[in-house]
This record gives sequence, C-alpha cells and structure tokens, in this order.
Amino acid sequence: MILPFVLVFMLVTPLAAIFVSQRTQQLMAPAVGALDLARPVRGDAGLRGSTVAWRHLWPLVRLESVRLVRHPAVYLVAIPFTVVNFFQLEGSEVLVLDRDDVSLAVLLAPYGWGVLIASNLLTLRSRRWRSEELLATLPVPQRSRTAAHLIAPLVTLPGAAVLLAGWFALAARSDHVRGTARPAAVLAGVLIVVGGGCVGVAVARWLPRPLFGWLAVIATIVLQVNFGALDPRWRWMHFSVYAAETISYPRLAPQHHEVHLLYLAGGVLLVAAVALARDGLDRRSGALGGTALTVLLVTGAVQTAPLAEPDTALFVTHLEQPGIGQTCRPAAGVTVCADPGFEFAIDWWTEPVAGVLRRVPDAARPADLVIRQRARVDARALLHPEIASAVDPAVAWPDDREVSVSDRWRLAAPGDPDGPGRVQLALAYRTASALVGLPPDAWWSASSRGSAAWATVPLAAGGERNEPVRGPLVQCDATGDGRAVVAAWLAGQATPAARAELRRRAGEVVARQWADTPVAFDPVDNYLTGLPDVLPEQGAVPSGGEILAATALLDLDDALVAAAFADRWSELVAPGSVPTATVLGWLGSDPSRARAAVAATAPRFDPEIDPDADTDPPVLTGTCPRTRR
Amino acid sequence: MAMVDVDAVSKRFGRTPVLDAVSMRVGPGVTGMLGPNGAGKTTLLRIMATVLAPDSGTVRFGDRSPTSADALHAIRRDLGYAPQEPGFYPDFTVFEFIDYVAILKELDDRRARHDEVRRVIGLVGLDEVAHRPIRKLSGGMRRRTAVAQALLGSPSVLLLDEPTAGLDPEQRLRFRSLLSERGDDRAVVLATHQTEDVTALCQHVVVIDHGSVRFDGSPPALAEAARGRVWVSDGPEPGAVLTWIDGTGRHRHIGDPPSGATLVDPTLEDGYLLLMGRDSRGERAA
Repeated sequence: MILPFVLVFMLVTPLAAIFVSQRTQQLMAPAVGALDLARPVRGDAGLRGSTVAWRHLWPLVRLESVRLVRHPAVYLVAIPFTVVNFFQLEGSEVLVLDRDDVSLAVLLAPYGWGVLIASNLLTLRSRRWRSEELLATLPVPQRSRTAAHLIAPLVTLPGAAVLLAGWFALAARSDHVRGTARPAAVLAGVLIVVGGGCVGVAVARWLPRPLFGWLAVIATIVLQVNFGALDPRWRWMHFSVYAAETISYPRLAPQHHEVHLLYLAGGVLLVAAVALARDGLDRRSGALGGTALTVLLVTGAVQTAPLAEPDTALFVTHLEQPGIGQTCRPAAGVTVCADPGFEFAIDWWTEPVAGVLRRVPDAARPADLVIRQRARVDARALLHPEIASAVDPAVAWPDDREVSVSDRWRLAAPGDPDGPGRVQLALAYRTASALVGLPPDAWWSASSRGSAAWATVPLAAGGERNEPVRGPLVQCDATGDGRAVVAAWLAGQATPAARAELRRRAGEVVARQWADTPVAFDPVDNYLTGLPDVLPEQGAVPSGGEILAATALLDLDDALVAAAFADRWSELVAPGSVPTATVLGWLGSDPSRARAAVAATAPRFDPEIDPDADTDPPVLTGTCPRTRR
Repeated sequence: MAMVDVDAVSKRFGRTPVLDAVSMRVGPGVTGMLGPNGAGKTTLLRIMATVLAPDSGTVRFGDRSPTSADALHAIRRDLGYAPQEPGFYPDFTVFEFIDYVAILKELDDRRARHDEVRRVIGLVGLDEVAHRPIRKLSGGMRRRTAVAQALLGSPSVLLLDEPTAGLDPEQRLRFRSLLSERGDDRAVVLATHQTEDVTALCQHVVVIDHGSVRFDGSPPALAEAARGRVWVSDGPEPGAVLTWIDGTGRHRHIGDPPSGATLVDPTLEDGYLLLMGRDSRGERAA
C-alpha cells in the first residue's frame, strides 16, 4: 500500500528541491530592476583560457564543496528517504549482512540523488544567474570550474560515512541485523553518492536545464530497475547489485564486489571526462576518459565473464550438497543445520520443531531427522547458466526425509508486524508431516539435466503465460488424509504464533470457501518476479477441510488430543487410509461440526483487504503416498 | 603608450552589424565611452574584456594579444571588468561573492585573498553589509559590489559598464573619487550614458554611435566642438537641433543660433548632444 506513496515521493521530492533552490531567483528579480532576461552572454569558444594549475583549483574546490554541503537539495532528498530507511530497520525481518549487505549501498542512494540535484544546480548557477559574462573574463576558465564541481562531491564522503556509521550503530543495538558485512559491498554506496554528484555536473554541462537533473534521477532509477536486474551476470553492470542479490544466493554465484568497486570508479571517472569534454577534449580529459573507459570495459568483462569450470563445480557442489560448510546442531531430538551467517536462526527454527516433538510419542521421534537450510528451487532462475545446466535438480531438491528451510523464508525479528507465525507454522507442519509419513517438501521427480527440465520457470517468467507453474516438482494432495489433520494440529499447537497463524489461515478458508480446495502454508510471499503463480515448496498439501479440522482440535485440551493421537499412532502412520473424519471421530467430532465451530470462532478474514493472502491454490500432482518415502 | 589598443574591430550578430572597424587607444587615466543605447558600447567593452572575439580587427593589451590560451590567461589576470549585469548569486554574501571572484582571479592564498576582498569592499564602502546576502542589498549596493570585484588585484585595465547607474549623488561622488585614484597609473574605461561622470572623471572620451567611433579626444575638445552652437532664450527656437528648459527656467538650445542669440559656454553634454543630434538630423535628411 505504501509503494505508490513512495514512488510519488521519489518523483516529487527532487522537483521540490529544485523549486526551493530556484525560489530565490524569483525573489531576486524585482529588486535588481531591469534583469536582462535575454540569452546569457557566454564567452566565445575562441577565447577559452588554458586549464589552470592544481594550486589555483583547490580554493575553488573548497568553495564548491562548502556550497554542496550547504545545498538544501542534499537534505531535502536525502533526509526523508534515509529516515524511512532507518525506520525500516525496526519492525522488519532480520537482515543477514553476509547476504543483505548490498542493501546498504541502496541505503545511500537517496543521498546520491540529493547530491546529484545539488551538483546539477550548483553547476548551472552561473547560467541561472547570468554571471557567465563576468566569469568569462576571469583567468580560471570554465573547464577548471567544471573540474572543481566534479571534485566537490568527494566532500559528501564524511556524510556517507556518518550515515553508514549511524546505521551500524542502530544495527548493533538491534535484533534485526546479524552477520558480517563485506566492506566492498558497502563501499559501493559511497561511490554511488560521489557518482551522483558527477552525473549532476555532466548533465548540467551538456543539458543545461534544472529539469534534466530531475530526469537524471529518474533515469538512474529506471536503469537500475530495468537493465536486466534479474540476470545473474548483467546485474553486475548496475550501480547497485542489490536488484537481485536479496533473492539470489551469494554462496551459489561468484561475488565480484571488489571488482564492482573498480567498475563504479571507472564509471564515475568516465562521467567526469564527459563533463570536461563539454569544453573540448584536451590531453588531460582525454587521458581521463580513456583510462576510465578501459577500467569500465575490463571490470565489466571480468564481472560478466562465463564461469570457469572449477568455479562452476564449486557452486554446483554447494547446491547439491548444501550441508558442506553448514553449522549443524542437535536440538530437541533433531539436527538443525544453517548456512554460514544464519547460525543464529537455528534457535529460531528449533522452537516450532520442539513444539511439534513435544506432542509426539517417543517412539515416533526419528533419531535422524534433519532440518536443513537449502536454496529454494527458484534459485535456478537466478544462477549462472553454467551452474543451472550442470546441477542435477533431483540431487539438489531430492525426494528425501529432510525438512528444508528455504534461504528466503522470512526471518521475523521482534517487532516484525508479520511476526514469526507463518514461518513457524510452515516449518512445524513440514516437521510434523515427516513424522506422520507425509513428504515434507516438494521434490524433483526427474533426474534430468539441462534446459528441458528447467523450462518451467523461464517460460513462465516470460510473462506471457498466465497459467500456474507446472513442472517436475512434485507436491501431493493430502485432501481427506487424516495424517494432514494431525500434522496441521501438531503445527498449530507448536507455538503461540503458529497457533494464531493456523486460526488466521482457517478464517481465510472459511471466507474463501476453500474447504475442498488445496491450501498450502507459505512461509514467504511465494512469488518470483515475473511468475504468474506460486512455486511449489510444501510436500503434502491438505485441503481447507483438514485445516478447519485441525483448527477445531486447537479448541480442545492439547494433552488430551496428543494422548488420543499417541494411542492410535501406529494406525495413523501404517499403510492404509485414515480419513479426516476418522481422526475427528477419535476426539468426538466430525467435519461438519468442526467447520461450524471454526466458522464461529476463527478470526474474520476479508479477502479484499488482505494483500498478503494467496489467491491461487496450488496445483498438485498426485495423492500422497501411504508410506514414508 | 596605449594600454589597450583596439584596431579596426568589427563585430556582427547574425546579419546585424554591431561594430564597424572601430579603432581606439586607451592609455593610463579614465576613458569615457559615450553613446546612445544600441550604439555598440557594451559589445566593444565585451570584446575588450575578452568575453567576445571580434570578427575582424585586433585588440592588444600592452604587448599581449589574446591569440593564445596562455596570452589570454595573462591578460585576464590583469583585467577588471564590471558588466552591466554581473549575475550575482543571491544567496552569497557580498564577501562570499567577491571572494569567489577572487578565487577565479587566482588569488590562491586564503589569508591574502581575504585581505584583498576586505580591501575592495572597503573601497566601495560596503564594509557594514559585507556579510549580508546579496539578495537583501539595494540596487546601488549591488552596483558597488560589481565595481568592488572588478578592483580585485588592482588590475592594470579596468572596464566598467554603466558603473554609476542606480547610485545616489553621495555614492556617485565617492565613486568618482575612487575611480580618479585608480586612473592615476592604469587604464579605466567607463561605458556610460552619464555625461557628467565623463566630465568629472575622464581625461579621454570616445563617442560611439551605430557601431562607429564618432568622436575620440578629450572632454574639453568634445565640449569645444559645440562652442558658438549653444544659446539660451526665453522661448522655443524652431531652428534648434535640440531644445530643453534648464534649471533657471530658460530655454537652452543647440544648433545654429540666430543672429543676436545669447551664446553660452558649451558643456561636454552640449558637445555630445550636438554630435548625436547632428548625426540623427543627417540621417533624417538622408
């Protein structure tokens, strides 16, 4: 809901900054008297002075730096966005800096926009106030004034450092930030700020109207968003590699952050050379432009080069054997494994798992159950093609008994308005599924390699097909299966948050009349950009009827329900069908009464006002097996 | 020795000729450049200030000619220019603006530069408003700010376009005193409509009209050109080129006096008006 306001704000704020900065021009006019509003007089090209020595330039750099720091546009644009960014630090999901550090570069982008607008207006100053006639008679030529404007944005570095330091200081006191940031990924933001200043100067020199400064801000956003942002290689050509980084997997792709810094530096210098070229190409600006272009091309080639075989093999290994490098801890009778940087989450994931195991008979607790962090299946759409074609998806997403926790599952921090309920319910349901003999995760049915088996996502991502994703990922239909009721109840009672989430989900089933429709427990907004439908993740998908039945059981005493299930556990998991009605009958209920009870007590769900609700039920590929796989 | 030597300079903007083979020599002292609006004064001043390049002809500054970047650089270091509209930055204070110009004049040492800025601000009497934003200054104060920046570094050549416009009488007197001191050993060129400024200040006057030099000489010589052509009477005279009522309430005429007319001593203004009036009458006759 807030996105349209943010977009409007992004468009309007730079314009407002320009307006405020220009306001004094209107104030000035009547006092001056006869302002000559004809075209300003500029020096003839044939009377351009030579470039001055550095010692003459520094006082000018100093003056322009002070002017830049004092320019209102910097603060009008930067402060609101930065405050919003800082505010978002609270009440959001956890940031894992080993992965999310690239978002810190984006944190500085509004500062860069402010610097762009301010530099642009300062460079246009002589034109706006018609002082070019006077300045043309002075020994320091236009080229040197441009150079001073180009160097001045360096003064914004302390500001960027303060912003970052402030962010890290807040992060250090917050439960929302974990892990360690990569310095090169963070420094990219600093270069983006300086680059913003240089872009403002270049635009002013070639397109000398304030409006073009605003358009330059918009252009940077458009370029950042649309320049192949999801492509694993081309995203390195952006100012910020943030575009796809948060939904990609740093362990599964080369990280060029140091080279990217050089790439950005090359880009900044090239923009500077373009600005200087407005006054003609001399030896210095030519050398600068040539060097910058070389750096840009070389670093661009390095970042987009095809992967070498050893690198490909390494990333494929990480994908197919996610346990390598993971930290695993036995907890509550199972083993929980997390990627580097995510070790903190083991305790978080253990809580719902322990809640499930608490209500399961001792004999039903397998000694070898593993909860493992694993790349979500949509990773394949974001990986380098060499990795995608080399990996065996049946190995990467196997038909095994491990419960997968996806990299993209929400890591709800304290204060997160969404809370941990969705993740806890999903994880608890999958754990319980494994215990009652249902498949916990969707699995890859074909052990094929190459593009044919991978066709589903790219085709759907083309945006032309508006149909559910169908592919070799298998989910089974647990409609009417009493094990799904038990699994859902075990999940719902696991933690208070999971209990509330199951009730909320039941309310949705009632409101949407999904009693006979498959309903999954999605722990994330389960969409990949461009895909028309959810990706299958959950192995056994119950219908709404099972969810209502499990929710109705939450109204009974947990120990009583657990005892009833424990008494009949062997019957429940043995070959042969135990329907939902039977399970309810064990506790003196039936599906109709369960539905009525839940309809009366479940939280009211209004599909019109819940934007997070999934509107499309999953497409299932078969009934669930009667025995453990 | 001429400090600025303008030789056969012509300039046109598009198809419109603005200067036509103008030549003049500016030596030490104050030179007044008189002429009606559109005569080409400002264009000539801009060419002398190295803002514009002439289409033909040359401008020499002492032994330097702005034909190379290095020579141009050297000329500009020794040049002070106050255009009609300097293009002040309204959010700069007087001090900041002049300091900015001083930086662009390559006064690098901060302390020395600030001393110089304070000096020129003092010369034009703006000490008390030195730290006031320019947008809050009166028109006269702005004009003095324009002159102050031109004085930075005590340039050998000072080019001032309408420097006294908007100044009150006291400021104008002060300004004349300031310029007369500057004109002792350097060249000061004053483009103006104010003949009294030229009378009071200039040792040399050039009258420009329609892009050509109409007069080049001393102010007394320009006044003397009207000797025997200025008279007063109690009523209008149909034969006069120009007539106006002077401060005594009598009619003052320029032209060919009738017999028995009461001739008076001509002023520089009379000479200038006669020159301009004769030209315009000549145009009408043509």
